[in-house]
Amino acid sequence: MKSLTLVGSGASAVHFAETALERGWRVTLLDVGRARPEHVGPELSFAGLKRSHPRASEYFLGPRFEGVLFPGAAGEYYGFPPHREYVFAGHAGQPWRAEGLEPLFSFARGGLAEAWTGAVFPFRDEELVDWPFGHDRLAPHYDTVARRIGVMGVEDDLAAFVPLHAHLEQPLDLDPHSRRLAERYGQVRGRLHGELGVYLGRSRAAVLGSARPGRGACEKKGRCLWGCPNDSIYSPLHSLRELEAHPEFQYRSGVLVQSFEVEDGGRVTAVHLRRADGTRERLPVERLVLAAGTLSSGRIVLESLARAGEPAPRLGGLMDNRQVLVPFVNLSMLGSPVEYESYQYHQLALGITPPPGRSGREYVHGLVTTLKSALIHPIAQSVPFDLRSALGLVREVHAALGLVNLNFHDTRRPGNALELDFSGGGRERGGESRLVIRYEPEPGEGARIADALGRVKRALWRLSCVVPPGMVHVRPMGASVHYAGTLPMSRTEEPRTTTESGRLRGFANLWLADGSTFPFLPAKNLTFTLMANASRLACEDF
Amino acid sequence: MAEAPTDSPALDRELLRRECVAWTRHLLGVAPSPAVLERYVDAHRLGVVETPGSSGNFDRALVRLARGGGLSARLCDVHGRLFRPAGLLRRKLVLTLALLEVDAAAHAHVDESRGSSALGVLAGLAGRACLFVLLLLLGLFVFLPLRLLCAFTPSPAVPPARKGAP
Repeated sequence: MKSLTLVGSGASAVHFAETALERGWRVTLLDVGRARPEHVGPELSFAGLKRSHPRASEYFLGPRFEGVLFPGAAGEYYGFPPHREYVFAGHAGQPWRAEGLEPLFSFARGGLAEAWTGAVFPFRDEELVDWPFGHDRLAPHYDTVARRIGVMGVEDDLAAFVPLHAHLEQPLDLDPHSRRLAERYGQVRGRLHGELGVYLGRSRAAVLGSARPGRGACEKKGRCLWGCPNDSIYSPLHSLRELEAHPEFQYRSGVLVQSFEVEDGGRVTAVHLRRADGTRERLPVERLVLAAGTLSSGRIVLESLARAGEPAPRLGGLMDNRQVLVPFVNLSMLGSPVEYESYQYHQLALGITPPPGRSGREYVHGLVTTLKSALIHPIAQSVPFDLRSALGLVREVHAALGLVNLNFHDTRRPGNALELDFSGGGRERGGESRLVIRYEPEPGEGARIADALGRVKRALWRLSCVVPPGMVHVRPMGASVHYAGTLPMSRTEEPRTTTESGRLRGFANLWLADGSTFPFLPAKNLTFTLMANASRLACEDF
Repeated sequence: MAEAPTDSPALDRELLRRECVAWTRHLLGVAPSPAVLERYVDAHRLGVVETPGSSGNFDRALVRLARGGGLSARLCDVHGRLFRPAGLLRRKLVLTLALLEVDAAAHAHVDESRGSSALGVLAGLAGRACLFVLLLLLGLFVFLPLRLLCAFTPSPAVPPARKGAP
């Protein structure tokens, strides 16, 4: 039987594996695979946990108060409870250094998508102009993945920017604040389209409205960010559980793939693993598929090139979506009660057209999240009042608060790259290398952000919302965790590129199946396309 | 290997409990539950509250004054928000709020929304802003001389955060 070895257990890896198994391959998946802890009080809602769980304080704030956002804390506040820190915990075998980008890695079972918000936004032709194929090649795989994971959505104004696909399920009812926004949009949509180029519609999300085997329907417990106890929000972990039941699938966790071995002619013969106890292993492979995520897959390629004698290997073209957070207060919701028992993530999305004369690929995408269940102390301390007054104010405006998360596209530029630094040990002495990540924003990015931001603020005003002065936050690069582009698919025979089917040029049996292969990064959340493209790749050379 | 923390000689548990009671009354007008008191002391025992940048002489003086509760606590809270936003008092107050909002007995006081009208909310906002400015001005008379005094007094050292589970 034909067999392949796959690295990683994230969104790309599990859908590549599923399609390859369907096509008759035997799949061995290698993964560090840190396990997800059991859900705490899975039967309880967000408020119910606070009300009746004996260890609610440890759950929300951590045994060492890791979940308390103290004033003056450095870095970004992600709001993940301490028991989800395993998603982003680093690995001793993968040291790194970054300039201009704050990377997040995941060695969790299920990868970074363990912490995604379920946003499902397929790419359209205008966004695929740099890709070696159009939307039609991805479309059947969007359908396949939607069937596998369960996607909610409707055809509305956003369909002009977000292609429809099969297996769309009826979305959840809107929470009161989102409903108010949608109603107001219905009254002003003509002006928003014509004057501002801003469109609003239902967000598409990988969430279940009705139960499936192993996953429950959304019960609006308000715990999305803390880890849905019903498993209603899709995670690659769900696919992995199904894969493990397949007789031709082997999951091997506790191993970090560090490099591969190549013989003359560019044939990969084995991978080098580091086990959890620090010991090493050489594992022969027939076909190797890297799907560990752009940074980790890039590192494996760089290490392997260095082992093969390349003096200073480098992968250019690293991309990431810039994100800008725009908090708003909906004046028409002031004084309304908060509905804590709600789906917590975005239920609406914004489409912002490019300025006149600009390419369609400069579309800006926004997720609209209304504030329901949330920890209050991070919000209260940011209000420019004493904490007592701030708390009183937050209580009264809580139901009126919301956030637009704007995403901006990115292009491949040679200076944004992955490299290796051996200065700590030296490869000749068997020392470990450090992954070096360099990133600089595109010139003109500020003007693009200012244009979109100006239009979004005006659109929000038309929707009866105001953006408090000084509260817009441009997130650091790396925060979106949408890394891509270091080994792009290309029609032309160039080094450090892959074929349309994801095979790395110069190698006979090595494929990339993650974001590394994206030649352009649209402004949308990329996870759904990662899954669809991985499924496509598994159909082409396999 | 995890190290079980023990009380440092400088840790005054009773004082910390009194502090927590004062902050809870200041923020919510109620008394904290035993669980909140215990966790408040734990946080100090683990060394996550005091940091070198947050614990100068003036910060400690603000905490001492705020412990009195009532108007004194309010003045210190207002002054700290503007002039020591990441100072020791703010850190202690934010910790207390974090503990209260996940506490079975207190969370309803934090989460409750009164369901007032939009006009009522805006009037409340204006009222809070006026009161904030008034208390800020009043506080300046007290805190400016205190700041000067503290500037000429040597600062105590801050112990590092402790490693290990509680």
